Amino acid sequence: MIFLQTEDEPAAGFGVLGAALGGKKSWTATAAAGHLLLQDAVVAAEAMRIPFVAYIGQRGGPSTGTVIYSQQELSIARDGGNGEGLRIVLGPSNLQELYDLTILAFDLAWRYHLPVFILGDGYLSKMTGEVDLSAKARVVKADPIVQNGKRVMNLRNCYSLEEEIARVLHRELKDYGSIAKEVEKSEVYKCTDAKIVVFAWGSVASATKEAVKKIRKDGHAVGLFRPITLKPFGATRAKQSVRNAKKILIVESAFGKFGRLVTEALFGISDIEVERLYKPAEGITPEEIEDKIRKML
Amino acid sequence: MNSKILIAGEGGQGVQTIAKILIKAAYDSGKKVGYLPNFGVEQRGGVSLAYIQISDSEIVFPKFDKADFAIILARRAVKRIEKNITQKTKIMFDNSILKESELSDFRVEKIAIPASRMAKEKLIPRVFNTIILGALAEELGFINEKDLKKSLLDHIAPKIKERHEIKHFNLAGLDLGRKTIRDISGR
Repeated sequence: MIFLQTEDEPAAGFGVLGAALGGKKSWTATAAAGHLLLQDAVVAAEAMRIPFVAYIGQRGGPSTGTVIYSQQELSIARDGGNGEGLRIVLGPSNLQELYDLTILAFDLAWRYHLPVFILGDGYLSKMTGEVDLSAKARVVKADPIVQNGKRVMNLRNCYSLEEEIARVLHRELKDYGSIAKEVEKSEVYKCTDAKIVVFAWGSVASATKEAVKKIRKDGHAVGLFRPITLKPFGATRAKQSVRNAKKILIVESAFGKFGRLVTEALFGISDIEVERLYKPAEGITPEEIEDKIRKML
Repeated sequence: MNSKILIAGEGGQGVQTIAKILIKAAYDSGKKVGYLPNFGVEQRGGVSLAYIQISDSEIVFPKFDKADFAIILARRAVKRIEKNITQKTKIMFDNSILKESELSDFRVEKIAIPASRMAKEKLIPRVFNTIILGALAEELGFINEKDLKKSLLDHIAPKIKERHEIKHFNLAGLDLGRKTIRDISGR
């Protein structure tokens, strides 16, 4: 492995693209304002279908904020930049998944030639715990992209006509749609009979699952819906998970970034009560979530 | 068994070092461990917290509300961890840094260790945190002494290379912490 220290995130991001063009698996990591700066390279990867991997350790914002923790970078990871947000965003909920999904990120990026984010947070980035390292990558080969010995590719990110770029976008959106079906992944935990379904993602989902398990032990029908791919988002499965629910609870360490995704996915289901536990830039413990759910029973 | 331990001090005291050495020793003693550091951008000053969990079963989430043990090493950290102290929490604090009366709001069992003074008078100031580590491990009871020493020596190996007497001071600090708890509890 070669480490390259760059002056800022645009340099790091375009450096990753350069390495990928040369046939090397490459990646970078950042957070907060650096994540904003990185988006320039991410949309370039999107435009020219170049594999790209970035780990984001979400921290409190806006601006420099804290170096500790948040879930506030969901929207930038999903849709940052001036494109249609054609990328894959993975949300690990614990250290084991951080390891496994990072392996998956490289597989996906080089299989589909798309940007892939591993959207972690300050807790996941800094905590220590046990991880089983036996999982192996599927090893999708990385070939040089512009010139691979057989042909020379002309990669384009600049168009003269609106009709021209529109044609490309329609083609890309269609392609992304079929990729989405293959990669979409969610955890649906005890939702079949659930009267209350809790929506959470990332490490907050780990805390939520703990709370749901405890309340289940007392015989209450509670479930958890957790998207593992935050983009593409498993809207169909999300809808199915609330089939028997009277109420849903959305829990996140941001003020509604995830909540908006959930309510959009459930649009059309009108006879369901929505409660929210939003704690922007602050951790949420299993105990707090348990208290909140118990009040809803 | 699941022990939730919250160490609260300030940047530069070695709070995170205590946590790292302790969880490695606990892991080597066959326990499941979880550790989450929590501090701002300061290298020194500013409240520094370490959330530690040692358990026989899997650790699901790194942060918690209710601490079984709260180790308080700085005055300014007291307010930050008020909400983590319940009637069942056991407090360990350095009474050469803050007075017992400053913790009078917490009507729980308290163990006072003058680690900062002991380090200055008997050893070197920098092993203050090693004294706390020894005291905490002794109080927890389930950390194997050999594992703890190994974890400590592994952690400070680069420093021992630079200055060999560091090894002696740290091992002595560990013993001093353990002995202090044994004396208090009459073990």
